[in-house]
Amino acid sequence: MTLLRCYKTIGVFGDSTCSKLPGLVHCRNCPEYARAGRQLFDRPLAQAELEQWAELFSREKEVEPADMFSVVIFRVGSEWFALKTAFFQEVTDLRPVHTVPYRSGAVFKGIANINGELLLCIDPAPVLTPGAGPAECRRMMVTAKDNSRFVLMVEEIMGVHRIPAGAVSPAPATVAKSPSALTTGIFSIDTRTVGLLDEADLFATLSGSISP
Amino acid sequence: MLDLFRIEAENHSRVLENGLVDAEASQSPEKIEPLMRAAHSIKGAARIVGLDRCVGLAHAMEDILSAAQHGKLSLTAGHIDALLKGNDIFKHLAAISTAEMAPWLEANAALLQDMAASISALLTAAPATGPAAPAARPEPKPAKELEPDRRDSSFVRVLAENLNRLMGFAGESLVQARSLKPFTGQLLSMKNSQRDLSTLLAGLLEDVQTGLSPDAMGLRLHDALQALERVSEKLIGHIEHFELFSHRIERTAEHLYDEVVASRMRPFADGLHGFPRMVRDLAQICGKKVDFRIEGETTRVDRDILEKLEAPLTHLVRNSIDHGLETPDERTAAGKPPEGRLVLEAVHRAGMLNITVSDDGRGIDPVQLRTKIIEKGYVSADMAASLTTAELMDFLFLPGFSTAGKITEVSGRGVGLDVVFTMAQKVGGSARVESRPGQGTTFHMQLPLTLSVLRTLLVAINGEPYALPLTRIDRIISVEQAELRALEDRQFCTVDDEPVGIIDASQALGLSQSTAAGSKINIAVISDRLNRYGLVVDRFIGQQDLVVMPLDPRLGSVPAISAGAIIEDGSPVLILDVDDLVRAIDNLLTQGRPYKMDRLQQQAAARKRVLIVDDSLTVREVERKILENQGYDVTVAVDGMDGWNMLQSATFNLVLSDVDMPRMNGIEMVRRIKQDARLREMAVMIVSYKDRDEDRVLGLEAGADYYLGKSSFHDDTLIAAVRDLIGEA
Repeated sequence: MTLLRCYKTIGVFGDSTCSKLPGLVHCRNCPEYARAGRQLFDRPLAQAELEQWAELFSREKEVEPADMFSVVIFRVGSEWFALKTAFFQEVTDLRPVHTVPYRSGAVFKGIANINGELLLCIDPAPVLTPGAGPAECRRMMVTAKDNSRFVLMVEEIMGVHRIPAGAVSPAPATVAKSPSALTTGIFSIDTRTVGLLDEADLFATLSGSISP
Repeated sequence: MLDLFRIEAENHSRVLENGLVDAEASQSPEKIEPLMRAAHSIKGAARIVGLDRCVGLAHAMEDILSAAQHGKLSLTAGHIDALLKGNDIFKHLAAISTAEMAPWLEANAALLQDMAASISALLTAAPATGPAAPAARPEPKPAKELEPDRRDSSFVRVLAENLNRLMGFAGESLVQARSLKPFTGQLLSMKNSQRDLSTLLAGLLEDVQTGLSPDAMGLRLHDALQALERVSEKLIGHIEHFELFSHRIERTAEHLYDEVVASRMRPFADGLHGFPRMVRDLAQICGKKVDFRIEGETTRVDRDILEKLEAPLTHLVRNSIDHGLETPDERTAAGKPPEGRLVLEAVHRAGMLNITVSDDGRGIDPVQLRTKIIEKGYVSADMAASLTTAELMDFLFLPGFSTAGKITEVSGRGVGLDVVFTMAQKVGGSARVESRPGQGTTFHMQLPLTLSVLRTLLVAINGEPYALPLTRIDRIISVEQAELRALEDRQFCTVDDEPVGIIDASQALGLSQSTAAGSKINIAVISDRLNRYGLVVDRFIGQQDLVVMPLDPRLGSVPAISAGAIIEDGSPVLILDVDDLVRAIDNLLTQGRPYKMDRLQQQAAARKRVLIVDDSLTVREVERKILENQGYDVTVAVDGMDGWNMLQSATFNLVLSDVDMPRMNGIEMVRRIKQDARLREMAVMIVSYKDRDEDRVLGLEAGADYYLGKSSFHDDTLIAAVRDLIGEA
């Protein structure tokens, strides 16, 4: 069925010779125009198009699991870790850290200026990857839990990802049974294995590292 | 809801208290009206939050005040007493936590009812006048325990105009930050112009290579030049624009900063709530008449300092009323008005806050003071006789000192003035007292305007910046290694002809010894009231005003560090606590082993050190020049004795010595060197005019490693010999 296209021939989009124009001023005020628009909506579809849509609807529905949670994935040394996004406040580049006499050590490095506040900086490598060599940290992550804030110095940040709870498998026994274990599970992203950290354990350990 | 009630109760009860004390003096209706209004507001607020027990009391108070306002009643001391007692209930409610309010009211229900009843009774019957015991407060104020909780609940009073200005500056800075957006666009267009220019020039290069006619080339070059000019002009425009922006935003940021710092200030009167009441009560107890004035009520005082002032000022006021002012009879006998005058003043002067508490009472008798000092055994009688009046007065500030005959409930224990002095010193200020016997006494406190901004000297310790409060530094000096002396293995330097022990700052802070280079030793002399120490730092950075930022409480109390701050370039810095530092140094010296300052030794790793010993100036200078040109570090000595002394205090790689010298000749010195365990390994070369074989043998037998005759002395031979012995510089 051919479409009525009077607006293109004798209407405002054509040579404006339509007799109705003086009264209507513009084609859009004309019921013929409306009808043409309607026709566009109601035209029958090509067979190919119909088949395409049928195939799409007949596919299995992708259900997003209901138990997704968001984590920030970062790298310390050669290992990747994840911590729930809820405990992050800010990620920024590396800045000067001033040591604190009688307190600074392998884990607690000192204080740094972030947004005009002096925050405590921690190098988590001795805690998360004991025995590994010195790291070249390039990022500072400001984490907070129950009004207790720490800045963790890490080498790389992969980003924020959502993972389903079901994708997290329990940590291998060697890790889980170690007394200083902080990982509660592992999962895969792309090709990497990431250890999910337990925030309560992590913050407790970090708090312990700064007490006098 | 109860929180709001508490704020209201606090505000209104304050108005009531001050107003009631005032009303004793003058009772115009205009003065009473706000008091009635305050009682009425408390009544309404109590009713809404359901604290019915208060309603009755507030109502009774309102009735009396209303009657007084309309002239039906004249408020006597008895009335005021009763009303003040009633107001105390509201003050108490404002001081306890909201959870405790209902239970407390239940517990004291009977008391409240009686009070309300007795106040209502005053409407008809005259109250019993006379010094009512103002101590009948319902319960001791638990206000102190509440303080920390209150601070967490973050209610801070800031002047409204401060807040408005802050809003203004904040908005302004946002506007200015946004104004930079179009700038990026302009820079981009300039980049494009430059790119076009470079294309032009590239085309020109091609043409040169393909051999275009000089005229055509000239034309092209001309185009290129013009394009370049256009770009330059744009650049100039952008630079101007950017400078303007930078200037503006810096000013706005400065204003913003200053305003925030200023918002820490509160009017002086804010810290003196309750003082008029206290003076009134004390005067009654002591049986004296006091005319109490506050001057400089609007003087701005840092809120922290204001809090700290409460205790010292209370002590001073109590002292004045109890000891300073005489009874009305005594005063009349002395020809003074029966009412004693007590004035509290706060004024800014010469960049400091001056607080004075002065009375026109009996003053302090220097004779009696002198006797007391001798009695207490602080100084001998002769010493005491030579002390000036001002010096005598300073003794008053010692803990436990009191000239009072007996201890009263009010004062006399000798504690108060020590509190005043300690508080003043703690914030970096001072206190003193002036007095004329029979005429009066004035206590002066001079305090910094703000605690939040500290004037400091930045120093580098172990490569990191630290800050020393300027008021706690005696001196800063820079000395050569050679000027240090040692006594019993402890090093010291001389300041103003006095020895001052020195200590390495990095050791005082528990850090590893600093490896700073440079031959000069930088010392900051600090002291507490008793000891002076020279703190050795890497270098002095400069003076800077810092905003004090408390460190994270999880760090606990860090030894020798009082707080943190951020310096101009954004890096963090730690502020040193001088008192704690001196304590740490004390510990170190009595128990530990202080690091030795030996910068010269540290430099040994850098350059080889040579000692030239010769009594001839010419020879010394020639040798020195030759070796210094080769890069060696050269020191000179004028004879054997001098050379020997030098070797004791510093380390060298090589000694170049003459033979014939006064006091100790070269042979003797070499012999000594080779016998000394420490110096034995050092290379020794003899350079002498004595070039006969016998001399050579003598020298070598004494232990010299090389003998160079001055006849065969050339620059090259010397250098070669030195290099042979100790290598390159």
